[in-house]
Amino acid sequence: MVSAYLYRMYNTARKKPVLLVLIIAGVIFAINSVLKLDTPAIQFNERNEAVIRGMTQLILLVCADYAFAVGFRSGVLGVSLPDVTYHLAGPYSKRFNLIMSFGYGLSSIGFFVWFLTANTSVLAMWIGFNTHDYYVLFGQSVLAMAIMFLFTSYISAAFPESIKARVIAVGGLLLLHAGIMVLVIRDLILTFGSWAEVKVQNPLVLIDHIGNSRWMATIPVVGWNFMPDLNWVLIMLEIVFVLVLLVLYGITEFDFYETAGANAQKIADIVEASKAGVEAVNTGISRTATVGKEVYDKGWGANAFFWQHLFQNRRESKLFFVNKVALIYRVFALLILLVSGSVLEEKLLVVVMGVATMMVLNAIVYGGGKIVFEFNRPYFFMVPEKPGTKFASCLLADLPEMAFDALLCTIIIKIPSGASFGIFSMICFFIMMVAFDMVSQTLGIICVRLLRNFGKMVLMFVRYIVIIILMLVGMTMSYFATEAVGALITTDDMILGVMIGSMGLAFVLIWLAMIPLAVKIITKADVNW
Amino acid sequence: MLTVNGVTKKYKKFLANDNLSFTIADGEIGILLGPNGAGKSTIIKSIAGLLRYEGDIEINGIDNHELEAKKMLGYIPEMPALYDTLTIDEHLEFVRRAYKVEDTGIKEKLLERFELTDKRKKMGKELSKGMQQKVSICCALIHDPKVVIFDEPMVGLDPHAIKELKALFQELKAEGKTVLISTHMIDTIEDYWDVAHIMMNGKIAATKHNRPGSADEKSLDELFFQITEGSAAASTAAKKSEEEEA
Repeated sequence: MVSAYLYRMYNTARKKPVLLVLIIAGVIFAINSVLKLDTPAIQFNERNEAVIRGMTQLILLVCADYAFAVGFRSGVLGVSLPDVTYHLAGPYSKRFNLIMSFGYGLSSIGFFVWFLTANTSVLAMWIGFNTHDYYVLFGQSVLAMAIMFLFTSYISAAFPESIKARVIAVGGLLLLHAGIMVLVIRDLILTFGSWAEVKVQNPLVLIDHIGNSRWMATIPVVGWNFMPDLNWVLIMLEIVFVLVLLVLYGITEFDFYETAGANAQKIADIVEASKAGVEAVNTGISRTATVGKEVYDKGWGANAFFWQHLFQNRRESKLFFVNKVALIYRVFALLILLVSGSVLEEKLLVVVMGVATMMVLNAIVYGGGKIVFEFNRPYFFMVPEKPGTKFASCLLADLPEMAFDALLCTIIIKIPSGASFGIFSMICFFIMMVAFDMVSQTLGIICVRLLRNFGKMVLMFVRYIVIIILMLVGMTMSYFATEAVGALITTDDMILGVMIGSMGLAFVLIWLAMIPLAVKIITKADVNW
Repeated sequence: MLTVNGVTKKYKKFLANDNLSFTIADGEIGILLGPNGAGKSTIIKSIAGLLRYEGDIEINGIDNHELEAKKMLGYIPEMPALYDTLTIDEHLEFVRRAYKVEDTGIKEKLLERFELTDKRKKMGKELSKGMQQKVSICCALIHDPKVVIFDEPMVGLDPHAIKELKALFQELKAEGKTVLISTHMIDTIEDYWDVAHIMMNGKIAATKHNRPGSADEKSLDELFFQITEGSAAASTAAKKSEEEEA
């Protein structure tokens, strides 16, 4: 059974020669980086043993946490649909299939180790990290990561449907980290006298104190096997931990197939959705939809598409006008603007930065849209209505989401920019954002229909290039409009309003021009499902 | 009437349909028979206006891309493509509204006929393949089309639905409608067809009319296997049918 698995892996790898070459080149680069660590050319800072030990310990902690996180991808989340068909339903034991599901996590860990290795020259230049230190770090990190990975993989496979088990494991780790952080800070304050004194210390001094803190030894695995301070009690504890884990793997009756199968389908849907340019979160939402008392009774002819999509959006969430992906980005944007607002004295610049940030983020959020799935079904093509009207009906179904998002963006920019962003410019910005979202969405659909067979990367690349060009068109129009009415402008609000409003007008015109093009592309391209 | 005239469809270098021409008259049931990859689904999708092709396709004398032609066409795809979060009821309601069909009770009749009444509140994502196929059939018939094309309609259906579907074919024929059915399952075709086109490598290799009394002609089975597998298979099929008759 191992050879069957390896044969499949071999054939998959054989079909990706470029990836293989990249991996080999990456490994050679990493080995070369390690062997060059002792070269005087990069060892230009004095070596500090204590700092190196502290740094190694902190890196080990990060490695172990990473392996802890990816371990949950094993078992219930580690199989694909072909795995379900050929392995889970095949003549293999559950334990073997569990090990087979380690693939994703182990490749992630492999990449992480490579990244760490390839960047050790930075440590060499900074603190005098040498090849021997790397071997110590490598050996310990592999050990720590293997144990942590096996630990969470076990939880994932032994409690496939228990969110509680995961919460307990993650919560326990977080609590441990938080507890150690408090204790370490307490020690630092005791050592340096006050928190203010701690803050002014050289970062290397702090790395030394934190990494070599006595509390580090309380962290399972990571703190137990730290080589320079080998403590036989801790080593025994680690061995017992590993043995218990192995016994658990041996005696547990794993029952994760059903959950793994369902998740494999979900992941396949997400992959398919991402190929179509749709953010993964959108695919997940429809899984939570349930039938309630709502009634679908609106629409006639082409606009039946609008009401149908609106109805589906409302069924999927009571807050159908909230795009959850956009919401995450909004938090991110708010943080950027709050920091910028506190640094930049010129509030006009904060608004300009806010507008740019929102546009860049929304090019991602609305770059595909759920509407793209409509063209995977026959109804759009079969219903005897004008294609342009049907297309516009579909696009407008996302308007409530875009309007709410634009409103949120307006408020977020208003917070750090104050009076500079007045009513006039706020209204202009709101309209501009909705128009820009429409342009992004339409462009996303065009790209998916035209470039679907070229793969996700090409699709995204082309889409971003075009969106940047369209943004430049908008900015050019904004420049000319501001120049034209410059003499009449008296306030910041008016300047911004004219700038943003003219850009919005450009996007409205671009969008209107894109609709016939999009319709032509959609109706002329073959439909395959 | 459905007219296909000189239709050629290429996928890059692969010729899926090679200069296909055939006509199915009003009140006729046409069958497209052929092994997997013969080009049946391609011509069906071309008729539905879902693919680009060279040649002409007309629905009652109107180009199939025209809105008037679309109003007269019903299409049941091989793979049902329903909306995840719409119920069976809502699917039919959506299609009815999109086609601007007044609510005359046809929805209820279709639901009842295909035993979907008790499952009308189930969403697309909750349905089995067979159930989805039934919904797909109902959606295609709700606007009372003059020409109906079925792409492998029996796949995934339960015996009752297959029986209903066969009865439906006869009813559509009796109402003077044009029916085209694509299938590779020769066993499912009984004596309800009027004309059968056997496809092979994107071409129509043979056409057979269902004329009672023409005993000297080869049976559909024989003709099919002769074309797809050669004369040895055809004689086996002939022997088998003789045995069955005996």
